[in-house]
Amino acid sequence: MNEENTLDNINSYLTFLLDEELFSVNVGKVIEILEVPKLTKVPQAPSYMAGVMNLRGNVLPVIDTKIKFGLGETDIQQKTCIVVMDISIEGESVYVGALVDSVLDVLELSGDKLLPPPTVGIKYRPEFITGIGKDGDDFIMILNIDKVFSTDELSILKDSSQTL
Amino acid sequence: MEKTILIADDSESIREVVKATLENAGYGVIVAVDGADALEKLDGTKIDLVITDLNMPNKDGIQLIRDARGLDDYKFTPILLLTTESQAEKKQEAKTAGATGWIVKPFVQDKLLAVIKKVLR
Amino acid sequence: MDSFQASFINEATELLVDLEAALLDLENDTTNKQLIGEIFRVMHTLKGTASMFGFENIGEITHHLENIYDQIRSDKLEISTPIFDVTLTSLDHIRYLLENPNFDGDEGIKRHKKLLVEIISIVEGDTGNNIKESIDSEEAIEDVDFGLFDDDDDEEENDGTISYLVYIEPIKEIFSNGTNPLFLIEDLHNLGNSKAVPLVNKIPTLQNLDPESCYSSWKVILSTKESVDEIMDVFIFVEDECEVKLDKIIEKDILQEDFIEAIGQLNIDEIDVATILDTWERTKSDEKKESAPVENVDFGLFTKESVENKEPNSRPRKENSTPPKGTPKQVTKPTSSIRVSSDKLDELMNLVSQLVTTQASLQLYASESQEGELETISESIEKISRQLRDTTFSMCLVPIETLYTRFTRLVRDISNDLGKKILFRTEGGSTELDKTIIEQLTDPLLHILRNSLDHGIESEEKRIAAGKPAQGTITVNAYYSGTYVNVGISDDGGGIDPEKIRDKAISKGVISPDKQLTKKETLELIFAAGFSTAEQVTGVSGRGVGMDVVKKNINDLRGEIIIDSNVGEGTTMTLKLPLTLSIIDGLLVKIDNIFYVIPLAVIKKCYEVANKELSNQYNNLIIIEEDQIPFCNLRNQFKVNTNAPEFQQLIVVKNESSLVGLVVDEIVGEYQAVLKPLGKYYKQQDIFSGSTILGDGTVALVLDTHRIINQNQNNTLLS
Repeated sequence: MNEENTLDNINSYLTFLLDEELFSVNVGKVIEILEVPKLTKVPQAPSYMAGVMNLRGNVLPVIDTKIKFGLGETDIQQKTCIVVMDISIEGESVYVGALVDSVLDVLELSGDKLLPPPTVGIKYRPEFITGIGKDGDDFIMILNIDKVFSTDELSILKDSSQTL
Repeated sequence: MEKTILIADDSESIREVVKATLENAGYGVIVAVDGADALEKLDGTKIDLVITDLNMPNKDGIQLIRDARGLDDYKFTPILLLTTESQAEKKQEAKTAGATGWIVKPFVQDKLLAVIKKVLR
Repeated sequence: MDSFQASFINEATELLVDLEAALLDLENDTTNKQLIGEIFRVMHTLKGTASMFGFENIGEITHHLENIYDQIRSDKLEISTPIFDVTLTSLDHIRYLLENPNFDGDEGIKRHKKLLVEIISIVEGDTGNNIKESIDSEEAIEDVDFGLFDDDDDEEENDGTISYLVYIEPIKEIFSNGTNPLFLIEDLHNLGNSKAVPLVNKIPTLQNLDPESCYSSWKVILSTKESVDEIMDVFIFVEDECEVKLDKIIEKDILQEDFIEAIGQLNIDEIDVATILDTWERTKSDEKKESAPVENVDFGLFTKESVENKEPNSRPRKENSTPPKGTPKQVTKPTSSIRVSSDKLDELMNLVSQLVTTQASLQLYASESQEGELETISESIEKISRQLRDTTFSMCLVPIETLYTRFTRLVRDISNDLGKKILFRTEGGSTELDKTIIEQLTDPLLHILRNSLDHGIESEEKRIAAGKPAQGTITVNAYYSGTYVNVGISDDGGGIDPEKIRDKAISKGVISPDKQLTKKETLELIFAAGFSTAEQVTGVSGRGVGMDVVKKNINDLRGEIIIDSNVGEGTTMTLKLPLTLSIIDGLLVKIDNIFYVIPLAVIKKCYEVANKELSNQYNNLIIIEEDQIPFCNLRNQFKVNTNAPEFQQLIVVKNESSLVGLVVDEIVGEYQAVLKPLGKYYKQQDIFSGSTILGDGTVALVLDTHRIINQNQNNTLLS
């Protein structure tokens, strides 16, 4: 990666699968990808909080991304990963782990491969999506992870307005 | 042989500045935070000069001088009193107790060394 | 000396804190000699050090203040409110000077001058002596510095060399002052040319000789360009141990080879000015004879001291021939300490935390390895790291007293402003808290105190009308309570009227008009966001911070704030604070497959109970050793779906004044938990005060038993 690149003009995206759907986040936000260790579930926490884990002596909260996306609880399999990301909540940098079914690839998405977020035709609320990537015939949701992972809302689905 | 000086002062900055000055001048330095501490340090160790503050908690300089003079090892050791009080009575009291001389605060480093040279060589 | 300045500033800052405390104590106990002595001593130290480190202005202020307290301690001046006021104002000014040694503008200079005048007028007013003048004249003496004896005429004739005869006779006991008289001879020698002749005729025979006495005296012929006072300076320390006579022989250097030889021939008793002159006459080659007037200068009469004493305007305290031997004997206070920056302490704490965590891994590995040797090593490391942890922990503890002084001052100033008479009492000052907590406690406590002063304590008229003493009382009391420290702030003021709170809350839209609240709940409305006592905002308490911020600050410290108030009687706010923020001794327990840590300090006892026994209990009460103990089944509270084991553990913990049982599946053992915050995502789950990482890397959750029990009770009430 060219160091002169600021976060905004890094055009590399990490793609991952939740069920059969393709999602991606800008690699500038990704710290590392881990296997799933033993998670400690915190009682009375919202269901999308999968628990906490030990990340080299610090406690990392882990989010069950699929619950947030209305896809049900993640069934931890061999390919299940935790994507550790550095997100910004109320101006503070916070590390958070996101459970995903599997990590696929890092793609360069720019120019005609990068489309603005559609206003209709997707089930997620527009503020959580920064754009759509095109990889061959596949469409990839590019997530605004600062928004997705900082909201208290149970799910980012359009028809969900339930808050905790 | 290196001369060793014991400084007794409850002011940390005075201790520090005196210690640094003396060490730069090639003296060995032992510090004590008050009179009682100083007396404990007069345990037979070779100490060639004692510099003590006048007003200190636990044991003041005058009492320290009296006590030190009562110790065989330090009966004749020069003792300088560090003081701002220029009254005759205090110096007189200190002399009666057995002080060799005094240094008036504030002092500059050269002055301090000059006074020490008067009583220690 | 610049490198020492920072250390002086630190030290001075600490001294000022002590000083302020002593002053405020003294104000309540004006005859306490010990305190007066302490204040004098601090002034004295400050005065002595300040000018050495480039803080001449502080030196000036403290010099004059010292005069005041010197007079007080010798009963020449009576303590009065103006003295307290001026001293306290001076403290603030000294603090300012520490930051701006040479002022930052005219304001500072003005204040400085004004203060000096005030201080000086106090001394003047009480003694009728013009202190200012006397100080000036003293400075004048110092400036003169023996100049009285400088005789400029001396230098007209030759190169300025004058010859003297110096007679030195030490007292027998001179050694016992640590003086070596030979040094005096050496010092004289260093001033120019000299010839010393010892007088040894008083030395007794060996059997009568006391080796600790001095029997010798000396005559020294000295030719020097130095002034008389330079020569006298040699004897500055031995005025009383030596008889010294200085006779001027002639304004020439007479110490030439022939003369020295001739002098050597003389019997020492014969050596006097006349003989010397005579001898010199005989030996000198072709020098023009010159009979200079012989001046007898008895050294003893011209010491600096005697000059000073003759000054009519000498400082008043000199009139006091025997000042009390009042070098203050402080109550034993360990002064043997070093100063360490808090950054280093934080770093140390952090490293210790990591060590403790790593040690847990080692212990686990060792116990699994079955190697005896390794286990032994691991055990010793465990012991050492525990001690290290405790020591480090205690290093970070600070007595709450450090805050009290500030408060005492604040209360004094504010009550003066408000024209209210307040008795401020502090208790439990030695109660220690983590320094981080102390730091973060200042603002909330100040805010509460301001409220008490401003809104709590009524005006004098109102108090008298209500049959209360005119003087209001505010008490701050700190005490340990389990792993917590409670800090209570009580006033005997008007109390908080729940009705008024309720009305205000409704008008501010904090609650709806039909909401039913208990008295406690109503009082707690003052902590609600948006609830401000705006209508009464004054310069004192209206600083734009509401009680909601106070509550938040306390909560951030994992603490709680409890309010109790009765109309007409007063208000008590109790802050409940954890002892430390970083490490706790805990009991590691397990529920289902998750580990939890319960702070050992709250645990009273543990019992094994059959699952059946618990589920059969009506109202979640169990009888243990004839006591009825309410219990929380954590499986239920944590909504664990799996089946409970046949036997469970009942952990009885202290909660406020009662005992409550917590039911868990299994007790694993004791564990030193390094607390890690759970972070923003688990803000709502405040029944956990944090988490900790176990030896195998698993995260365990640390229980806040108080919150768990509260939650359980609330749930029970609701259901």
